[in-house]
Amino acid sequence: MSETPSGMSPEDVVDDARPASIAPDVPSDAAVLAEREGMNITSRSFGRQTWDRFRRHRLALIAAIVLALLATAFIVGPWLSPYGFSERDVLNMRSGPTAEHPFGTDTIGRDLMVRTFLGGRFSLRIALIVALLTTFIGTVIGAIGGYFGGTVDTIVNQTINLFLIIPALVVLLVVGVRFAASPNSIAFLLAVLLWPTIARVVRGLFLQYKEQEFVLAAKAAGARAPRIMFRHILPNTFGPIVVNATLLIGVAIILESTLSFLGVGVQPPTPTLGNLIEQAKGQLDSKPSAVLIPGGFIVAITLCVNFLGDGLRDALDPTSRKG
Amino acid sequence: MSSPLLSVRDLSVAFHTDDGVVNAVNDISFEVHPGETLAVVGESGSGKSVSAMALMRLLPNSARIQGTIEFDGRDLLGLSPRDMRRLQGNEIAMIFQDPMTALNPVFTVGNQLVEAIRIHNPKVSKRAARERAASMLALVGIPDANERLDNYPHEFSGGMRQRAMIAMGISNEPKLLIADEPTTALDVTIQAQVIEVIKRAQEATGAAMILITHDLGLVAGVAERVQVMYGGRLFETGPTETIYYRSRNPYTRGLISSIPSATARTERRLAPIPGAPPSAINPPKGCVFRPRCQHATDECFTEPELRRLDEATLHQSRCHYAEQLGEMDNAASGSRT
Repeated sequence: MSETPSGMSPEDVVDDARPASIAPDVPSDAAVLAEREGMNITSRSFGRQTWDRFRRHRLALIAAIVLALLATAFIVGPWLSPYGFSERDVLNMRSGPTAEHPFGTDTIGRDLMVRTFLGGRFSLRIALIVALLTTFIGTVIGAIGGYFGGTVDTIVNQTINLFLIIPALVVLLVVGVRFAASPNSIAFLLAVLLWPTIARVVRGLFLQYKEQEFVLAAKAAGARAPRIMFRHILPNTFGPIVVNATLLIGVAIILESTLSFLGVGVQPPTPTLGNLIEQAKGQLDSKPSAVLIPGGFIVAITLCVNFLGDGLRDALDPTSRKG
Repeated sequence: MSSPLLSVRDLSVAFHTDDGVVNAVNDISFEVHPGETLAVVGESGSGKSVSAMALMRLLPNSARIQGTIEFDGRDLLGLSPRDMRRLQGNEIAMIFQDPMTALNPVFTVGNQLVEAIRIHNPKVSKRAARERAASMLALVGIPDANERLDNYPHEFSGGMRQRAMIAMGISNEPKLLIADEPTTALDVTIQAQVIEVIKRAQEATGAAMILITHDLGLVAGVAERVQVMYGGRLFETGPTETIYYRSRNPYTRGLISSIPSATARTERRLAPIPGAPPSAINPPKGCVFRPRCQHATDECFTEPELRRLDEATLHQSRCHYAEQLGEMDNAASGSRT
């Protein structure tokens, strides 16, 4: 992946094909090279290059804008709404979308727009906490296992496997029933169950990268293990980590929705996108909007986050020449 | 003669594998004096890279290392990892074979040069380190060095990357530079240039150098002394001139006659050495080169010692017939005139 065709570009041939018999002294050497390769001298900062590459990724840019708008709506919306999230409008129960209630109302007359936005806020918060926590735990553990190998790796690998064979849903159901679930505790629980997916990816990447010569070169330069792991190898693995982290955001939203749908997730009256669907499931025939609207938000968030991940992966890879 | 900078005594490296014990390096001893260049020549599997890695303490923990390595008065094998890191990249630096993978693809060249400097000199400011990095790049013949610092490795050609590696190697003015096949991954046409650059860099810093290569032709103008390795053993060592013109070892002679020459007066065929390098797990009985040697006799079933042939030049060879090889030469040149 690091070897793009541009790394073996025509200027290679030009530069290297000069007769070797001419003893190269600095000035002429430099002059010739400057003349031939002067055109691709760029000095933009890393941040600038990353942004330039990201901007070219049309879909990712749109996804980022949509996500920003959604997040703003989730945060500001409930606050601007004339209705409270558990306030009942007894005259307009079970209504479809109307002027007063653009998303309709639920079975006991609560405004679904404010509940959906608030639900989106909780769902997004859970997803972000899960993604950050999972990525952090998974990266550190995976890096340690992959880099040090041997017994350490065996322990890490077996722990990963152990967690991967635990049926997440069963554990979540059992634990969810035992403890009153708040958005934060659900997020924490999901992170504990999901970190192995990231750890497995990171471990594999570290196993691969630690054999690369630049790691040996760093060792030969006197760098310590933590420096090699987190300064030299980790940046090479940003792409796959970012992609997996964004995938996890989708997974977390869907898992949380599943839990709420099964009734052991975040407990009412606190709304999440998942328990909104659960509460509306009986109305699927009579008033599909009550299910389709929160469902649509779940799909939109998951898709946007995945596109965003794609864009970030390409943008963070300096060898991609899209910028 | 001055006291040696590096003194290796009876170095052996073995790896325990599922197939048995691999004796990669067997009892090699050599010295490198300050400012001197020693070329280590041999085929793949001859143990040349492994012995260099042993010097840098870069071998995996599974390696069993015996013997002593003394560098500048310190016992390298006895140093704590912390003290060893202080030497690595600072007093002993290494240039690797493949410049395509030896630079980290996600950092700019300048970033990596600056890091190499600042690992060992944390007090140097980033700006000063950058200036030093630029002057190092200029020294190895990279134009517009200051702008080039902001390039990523993939924006460099292979030759330029190896130059950048050399710049990194000498950036802390090491006392000893180990170049492990620095030109093997490069086009033939720029190999000579890169060797020139290495020499220039070495002269600029006054470092001693161990040049590891499988190409005996490459070392002629660079090294003062050559050490030929085969099957993890030292086969012949001596001044470059002696090795080239008065070799007393059949293996070295085989290597020399397999170098293509553009200037040879008489038309001669390249003479490759028949056969393959020996297994490091089950080496042949006696002299490890015996199965491939055209001079081999029954005597070669006992392993020859590395013998000193000349006190002044310290020319040593591992062959029962070292002296006879010399006489054969004299006879041949005598009959021609």
